[in-house]
Amino acid sequence: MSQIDVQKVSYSYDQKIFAVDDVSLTIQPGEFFGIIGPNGSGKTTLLKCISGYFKPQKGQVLLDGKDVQAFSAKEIAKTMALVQQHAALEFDFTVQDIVLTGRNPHLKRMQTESEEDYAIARQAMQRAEILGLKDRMVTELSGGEWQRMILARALTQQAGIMLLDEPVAGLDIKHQVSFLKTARDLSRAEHFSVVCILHDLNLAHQYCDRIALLNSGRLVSLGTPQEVLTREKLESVYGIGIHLIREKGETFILPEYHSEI
Amino acid sequence: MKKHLIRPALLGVIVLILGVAALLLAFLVGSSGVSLGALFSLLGGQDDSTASTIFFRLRLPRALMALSVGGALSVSGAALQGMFKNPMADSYVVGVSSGAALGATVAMTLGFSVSFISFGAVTIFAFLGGLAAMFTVYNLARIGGKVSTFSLILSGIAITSLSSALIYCLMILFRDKMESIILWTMGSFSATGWTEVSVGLPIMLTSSALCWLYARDLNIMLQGDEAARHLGVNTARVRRNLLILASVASAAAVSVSGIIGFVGLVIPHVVRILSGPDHRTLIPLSFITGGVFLLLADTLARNLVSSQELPVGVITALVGVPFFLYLLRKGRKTV
Repeated sequence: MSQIDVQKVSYSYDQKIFAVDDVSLTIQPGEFFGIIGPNGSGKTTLLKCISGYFKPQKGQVLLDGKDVQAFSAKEIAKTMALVQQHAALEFDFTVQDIVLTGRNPHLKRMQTESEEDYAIARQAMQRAEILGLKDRMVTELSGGEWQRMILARALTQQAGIMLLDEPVAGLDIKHQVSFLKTARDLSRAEHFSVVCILHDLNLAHQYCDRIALLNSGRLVSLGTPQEVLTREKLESVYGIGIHLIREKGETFILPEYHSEI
Repeated sequence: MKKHLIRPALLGVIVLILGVAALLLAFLVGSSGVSLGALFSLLGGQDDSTASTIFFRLRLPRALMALSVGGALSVSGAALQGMFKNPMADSYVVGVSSGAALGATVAMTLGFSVSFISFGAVTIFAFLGGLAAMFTVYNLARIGGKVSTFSLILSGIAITSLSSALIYCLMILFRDKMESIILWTMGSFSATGWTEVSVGLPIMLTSSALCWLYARDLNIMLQGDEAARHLGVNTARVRRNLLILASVASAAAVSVSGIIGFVGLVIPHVVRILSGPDHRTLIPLSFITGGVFLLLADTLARNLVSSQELPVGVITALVGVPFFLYLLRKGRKTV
């Protein structure tokens, strides 16, 4: 349970153009917070500033009032778990081996995992619905299974914040929906906050409590999905015609396929 | 569901049994034979002066040295391959081996007689040359406080090429030293005595053991740097410390034995193929497997051709390459 305060954060890769430009926002404990915007709008840069991986040239990020730059690697890992975009790696570990690495921040060097650590990992795999794949080699997982394994690893860390960096990119629609549903249900049940970068506006609409819309590094809009995902805002940011279709109480966002770009 | 060929503990037991056999073989076989009975009476404390001299002055220190050099090179290779996520990494790639060779060459051409000094200028220059090369590579690769794996490996290759060029220069300028330089670079334990063992062995054992402390960090770093940071690993610090430890281990090994190729690169792969990539078992198993392999190779090098020793590096490649290729075909991927 941690509150994230992003205070007037600016970050530049080349000291000329700011990839993140004077962004301020607060993410409440337990919130499912989405970051959206076009390619190159600064979503990932902002997330890396929040995680402390990048040190902003201006402003600061506070976690429960403490500057994230002052955190040690272990403190980072106990506070924030990270699920990145799916990228399978070639090494012959089992699913359980990888999930157990989530206990690392809680272990001393050379200390081996206890029964309790195994139990925590087991529970996490159960919640991420991959317990059946526990002894499978990670090289044999599908994209959807891989992301669930990484979700289980993140749960095993027992951190108050989970950072999701395009977690469903490259997954089919069924796995996109089931991954985000699982992540949101778990954040509700276990009261951790989620900061999630998404490209799919419909998924953002469906699962996020609040959304930040970025464009050229600047925060264009901040609020509930209904407040942020309006036709005017999306058309001006993405530069393409947008249809909002409401049906059976749900909203669907579609591009105007033949609009002048 | 694919499991590895052997459980790590079983591989450990097999290698240890092989190790005992290899030690006995190394003690007994040679240009002048020592009988098993003589060996046991020696170990029982009874003195037979000829056998005693051969055993205590020659074969025992040489065997200990081969074991620890093989172990240190293999651990160094395992750690470097793990931290760079690069199956080609070993002490060559970060410049240590060629830096050590350059150091040794400088010492030889400065006029120290190799046969005259059993432990001295050549060993010390080689050790310092190896470390100097590593520090040069590390600092070349460090840009804005961060060291990328990519630039580190490229800098290592550049420094290796530079060292080789300088060695060739020195060889041409000092033609009379050419043979000893070439022999040194091919690796040999023929000059090993207790002086080398008493200094080299503790350095190699300590640095290898310290590498083991980072085993779980290495497992986690395979998942990528940013992921590792969120799993509590200070990747920059771990990489720097491991680079120093692996370099000290391999520089110490090279400085007492010359360049013995193949061991550091291949033994970790053999262990991975046999019993899996977990560094907590990979590092100690690489140490004992590399040690036993090099001991056997050295015993062969001493005895294969009568009246002459072959460079041990030649044996490691001749015997090891076919076995490694067989395993590579049989056990699909590594790292």
